[in-house]
Amino acid sequence: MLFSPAIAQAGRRDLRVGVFGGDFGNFAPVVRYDIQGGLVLYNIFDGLIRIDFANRRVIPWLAEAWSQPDPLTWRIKIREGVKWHRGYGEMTAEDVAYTWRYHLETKSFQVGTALFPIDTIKTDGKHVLEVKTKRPFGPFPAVTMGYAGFILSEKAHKEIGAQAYSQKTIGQGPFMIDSVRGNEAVLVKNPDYWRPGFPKLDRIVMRAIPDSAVRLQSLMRGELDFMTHPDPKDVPEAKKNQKYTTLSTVGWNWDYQQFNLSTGGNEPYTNKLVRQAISYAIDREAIVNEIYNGQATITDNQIPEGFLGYRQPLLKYPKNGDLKKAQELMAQAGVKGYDVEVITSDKDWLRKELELVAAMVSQIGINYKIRNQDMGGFNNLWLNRRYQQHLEDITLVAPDPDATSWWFLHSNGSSSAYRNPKMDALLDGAREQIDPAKREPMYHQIVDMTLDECPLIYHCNVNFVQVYDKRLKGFVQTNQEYGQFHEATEWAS
Amino acid sequence: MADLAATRLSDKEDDFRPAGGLQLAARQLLRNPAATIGFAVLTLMVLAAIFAPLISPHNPIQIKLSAKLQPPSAVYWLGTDHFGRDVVSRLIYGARVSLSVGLLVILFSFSLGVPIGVLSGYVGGRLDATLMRLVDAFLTFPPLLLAVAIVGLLGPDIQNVMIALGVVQAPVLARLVRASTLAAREETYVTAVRALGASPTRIIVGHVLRNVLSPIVVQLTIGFSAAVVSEASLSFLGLGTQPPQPSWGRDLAEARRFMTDAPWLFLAPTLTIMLAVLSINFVGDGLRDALDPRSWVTRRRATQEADD
Repeated sequence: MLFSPAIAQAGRRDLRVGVFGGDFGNFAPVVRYDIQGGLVLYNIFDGLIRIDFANRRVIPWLAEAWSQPDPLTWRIKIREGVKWHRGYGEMTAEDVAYTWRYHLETKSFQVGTALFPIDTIKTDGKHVLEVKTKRPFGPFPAVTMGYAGFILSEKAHKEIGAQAYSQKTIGQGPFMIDSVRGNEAVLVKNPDYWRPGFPKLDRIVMRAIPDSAVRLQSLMRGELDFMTHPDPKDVPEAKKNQKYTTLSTVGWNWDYQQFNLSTGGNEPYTNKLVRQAISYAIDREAIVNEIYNGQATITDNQIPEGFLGYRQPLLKYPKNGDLKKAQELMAQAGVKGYDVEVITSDKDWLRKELELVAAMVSQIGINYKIRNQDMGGFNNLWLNRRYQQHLEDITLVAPDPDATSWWFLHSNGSSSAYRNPKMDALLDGAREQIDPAKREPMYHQIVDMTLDECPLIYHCNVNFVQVYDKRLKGFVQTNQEYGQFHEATEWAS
Repeated sequence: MADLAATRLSDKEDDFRPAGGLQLAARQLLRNPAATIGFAVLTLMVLAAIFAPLISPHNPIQIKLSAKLQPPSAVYWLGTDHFGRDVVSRLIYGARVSLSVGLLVILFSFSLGVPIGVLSGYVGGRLDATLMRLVDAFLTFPPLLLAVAIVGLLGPDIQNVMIALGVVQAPVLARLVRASTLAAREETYVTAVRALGASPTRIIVGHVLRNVLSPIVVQLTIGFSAAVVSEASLSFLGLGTQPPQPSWGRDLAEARRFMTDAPWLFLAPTLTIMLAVLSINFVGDGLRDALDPRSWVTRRRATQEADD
């Protein structure tokens, strides 16, 4: 349905959103989902907590309160009166227990990041959950209740079956899934949503359009009202256009290179001097300017600004690199040059970035043989460690430094197969520490060790950008890629 | 008079010997202006591809950010791309990719399609039925979609593109060769050599294959141009040549982002692909006419009448 941009917007209660990617894939929060699937998921589920992005703190949501009677026990009070979509009853503490047990039994992707500390789960009445952890875990509210905070309806999940639930997903968020066909997902208003007056819209049509230029053209032609991930090159022009609102904010994410260190040690990059040389060969400023057109912030470490443990964007490696130092390190490592296969996903900005990075490292004799993958193919290679090196971006799941480090650097979590007992001790110690004043210096040490060992090389924190019709109001941008909530979005009257 | 007639008949037979036929075909090909131009352009492209390191003005993958998006000039004849790489040099090196893909694809489809087609047509029976159902199964898929699926399965890579395109084209060739073989095996000369006790291999290689060569050659030129376009399409979709290696299709995909800022980026690969495909098609059309025996007869008669 097309609308004349000049007259027909007032009174509209639908929204057409263009998102990155292809097929929407899975919407069940207990199975790994892609960006486009995540964008749907965040509108059909409410989490146990929400993040106050401005202040980088956790706020109660479906978990309306929690307490810690002792360092190993968390008691969570679940909000009353929250209804599952399509008549599946009220959400209870049993649903939370079922979901977390399901994660643990199926060894889901959140176990390593969010649910690993859980020892026992039990309910205390209809709306109270008590969780015992194996060891003290400071970031429990942000990481466990945040990243694993989308809860399944036990009744619906058992009745429909796990497979079907990933498409006919029953949530309790402001919108419900109406239909999913190929690259189009239609969401409709949840009439039983627990927050009075929300959502403002009756219907959202999400279209996955892989090409950022096509997404922007669709917006300009009036075929979309809202789009994500424009080509950074087009952002200044979009900002000038009076018909559209363009929001751009630094993401809680990084673009980074990662090395697979589990390949037997034959590859030259298993020598940390080579990895340091690569980091010195990177001109991070050129990446920010040429690939992101300034819509990114240079960094050489994993802690973004505003997170506990943040010091400054560049701690060791110069913004324009240091080619001489890089060459010296290669000589010191006794490596003259080598070929290595580097994979990335189908995000067009990352493919360009990898091309530029390949040119940079070619100056120290390293030949990146680029192999572009679709998102599913990339995840398969990456998570199963069937890669040598990759360049990718990743959104941090919670405003806590644990989310920036543990899963990437700990022996039990690292997708690099990076193993360092000192690093493990630091990461575990920082996890168990509740007092921020004591945690902060621990993260400084973790960062310094990362900069020295370079199992990951960080390039920049990329902005998340949305462009939408100026007559839309109520949308609040977040620092997370998936975090595009449309419950308050509405057309100006 | 009778002697004279006999002599004339003998001359005519000589004219239809394969060697004479090829000479006639070559002569006819050169008389066709479109085919001649196509052949010349194609030859230039092949030479450019072979001697790319010698004639390329710049390194095609060398990034020079200070020279990005420069318009055509004396230094950069067709300008530079978003990474400051010389467009001319990328086109020259891109020719290597496109033409070698075209060549290898037709070699692959020839090696697979011709034996299947000849065996199927000559042997017939169950073998024919089995092979042709297999071929039909491949032909039911749209060629580019099938290629995308194969590359998707094997992974995005230029070698996989060649395999995919070869697999896509081989069934077409097999069908064509089978049809020609079916007609050829019923010819009197095949019956004659069979009666003389020639082995099936000798009959197929020495007589059948030799006489179905014309449609094969024409089909291979069509396949060549289709392979060039398909490689460009797959690279455009990110499934073919991987960066930073130059490829006409991939460079075209990149150029879309700069259509308004730097139109030369878009025009250069577009026109090059067009020129290459047009040239191959011209040569293919010329070959089809030149290798058509009916046109030899017509021409020969016209020549004889002129001589008489």
